[in-house]
Amino acid sequence: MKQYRNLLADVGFDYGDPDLPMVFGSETEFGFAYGKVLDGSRESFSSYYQNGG
Amino acid sequence: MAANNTGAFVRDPEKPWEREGLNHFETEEMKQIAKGAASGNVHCLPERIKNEILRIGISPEDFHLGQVGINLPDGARLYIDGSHIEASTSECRDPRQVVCLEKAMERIIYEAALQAQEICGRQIFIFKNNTDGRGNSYGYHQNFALLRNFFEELLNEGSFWRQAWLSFIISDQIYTGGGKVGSEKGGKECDYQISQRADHISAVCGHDTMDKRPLINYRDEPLADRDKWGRLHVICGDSNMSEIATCLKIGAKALVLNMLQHQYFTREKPDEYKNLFISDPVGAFKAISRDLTCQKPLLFTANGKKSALEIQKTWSAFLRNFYLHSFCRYRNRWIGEVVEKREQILKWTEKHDRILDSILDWRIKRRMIKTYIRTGFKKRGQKITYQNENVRTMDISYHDIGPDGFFNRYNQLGNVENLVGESDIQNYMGNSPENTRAWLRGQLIKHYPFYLTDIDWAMASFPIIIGDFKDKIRLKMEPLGSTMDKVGDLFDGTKTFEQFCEQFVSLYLNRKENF
Repeated sequence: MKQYRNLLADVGFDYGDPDLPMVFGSETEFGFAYGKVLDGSRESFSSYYQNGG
Repeated sequence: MAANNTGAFVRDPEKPWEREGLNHFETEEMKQIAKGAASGNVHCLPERIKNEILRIGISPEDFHLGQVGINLPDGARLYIDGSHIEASTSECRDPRQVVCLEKAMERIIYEAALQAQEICGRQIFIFKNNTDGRGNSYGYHQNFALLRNFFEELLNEGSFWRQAWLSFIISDQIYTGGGKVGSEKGGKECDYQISQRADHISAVCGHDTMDKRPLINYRDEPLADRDKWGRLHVICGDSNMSEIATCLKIGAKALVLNMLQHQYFTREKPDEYKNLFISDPVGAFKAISRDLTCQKPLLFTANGKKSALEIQKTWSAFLRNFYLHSFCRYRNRWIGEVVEKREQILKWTEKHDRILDSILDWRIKRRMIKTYIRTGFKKRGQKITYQNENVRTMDISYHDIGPDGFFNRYNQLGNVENLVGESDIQNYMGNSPENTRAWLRGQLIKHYPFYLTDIDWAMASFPIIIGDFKDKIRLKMEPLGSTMDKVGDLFDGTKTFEQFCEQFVSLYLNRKENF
């Protein structure tokens, strides 16, 4: 079957043009927050997110 | 710090305002910031920036460094966009590459945050999510290179392609959603919903990405030859911690776009294609997000009311027919993997199978929260609701990219099904995909960072030095050019930059099309 498909593909009976592009990627925006002070003193969890894209 | 840890190319040349571009911040304001950094003088800066620097209490140079981006050896970019950290993967041809690059970037950012918190003396948390639960959202943008003609057709208001595409992107959240406690922005109240972004989407199409966010974004920056390419910028999806969700999110969309680009529906018109005409896509997007069964007939289509699951199953049939049953010449392993894995997930969704509680983000998070609510009741007889402060904290901490993040903890305990191995992630912390232009970009950053005068997605600038001959080049790179196959010879046996220049000139003169 595979051979048959390849044969058909070679004479043009195919959907796929392997040269057509499938190139992709992603952009990630990260949230950010401060936690407690590292020296051990307590401080409430604070955050200052900013609206992104 | 990330630059030091990875050997990245930092956009911090001595006189950046004399360069042709400052990359992401190609503005007059950024040039002023760079000048302020060089002189150490805040007075030449715009009022807004000056006040910001004085408020935070840092030097103009530190502020400048905080604004510039770095290009990593894996071909990716890490930068500050406005006031948030943003990272872009390099160009990929396999969704597994995207998964690896995203995971690698999480590690790079986390390492830098650890060092930063030593300096500032406070814990720093970085979250890979899309909302703070208080009405603010930050994005996850998927990018797909398309042929120019198809890109323009897809954005065309009356086109069938646009309708079909909308039907897919509003319903794929049933396996790509990040999960969210409660609602925002005046959305219909709920305890829990599938999508992080649904409450923040308010238009079918548009240019805006920060206020009136659309399902289809009109941004038209191909980052390549405009006559040949368009770059579809998809902003309505969620960030994912789950590797499988990330892979399906990118991979399935790439397959759908490619199928549409091949004019599939002009060759075949299956009966079910009427399912793809959905009225009020924005309302449907929000309604689907609140249907945790994924099976309520909430969508009004030309074929009657359908559920998100039914729409996605319709696409399954098309994808199978096109990629697996037709005489399609694609032989990439990932295509079959994405088609079949996606079908399996939809079958499990139909059966309400609990296995999804270890695969999909919105299901994993919901399971954790439900366990907490149930345990709290058993232990203390205390009724815990979704409005509980700890539940809200779990919602955000799930996305903490550090080892103590709830997803990462859960994963370490073996409760999550993964897709890629640790060695794959480690590989992509220093290496770019070999089958796109990211390869040449990564190699230049790795081998000759001190000679690069500028680098961007579509170009690299460097001097040509051969003996007494000196010139400079601004090399343009096509998305599918500059791959290891096409220009790998450049780095064969080269030791010095001059030897590289000789090989580059020879290749460029004889096979310019390879770039």
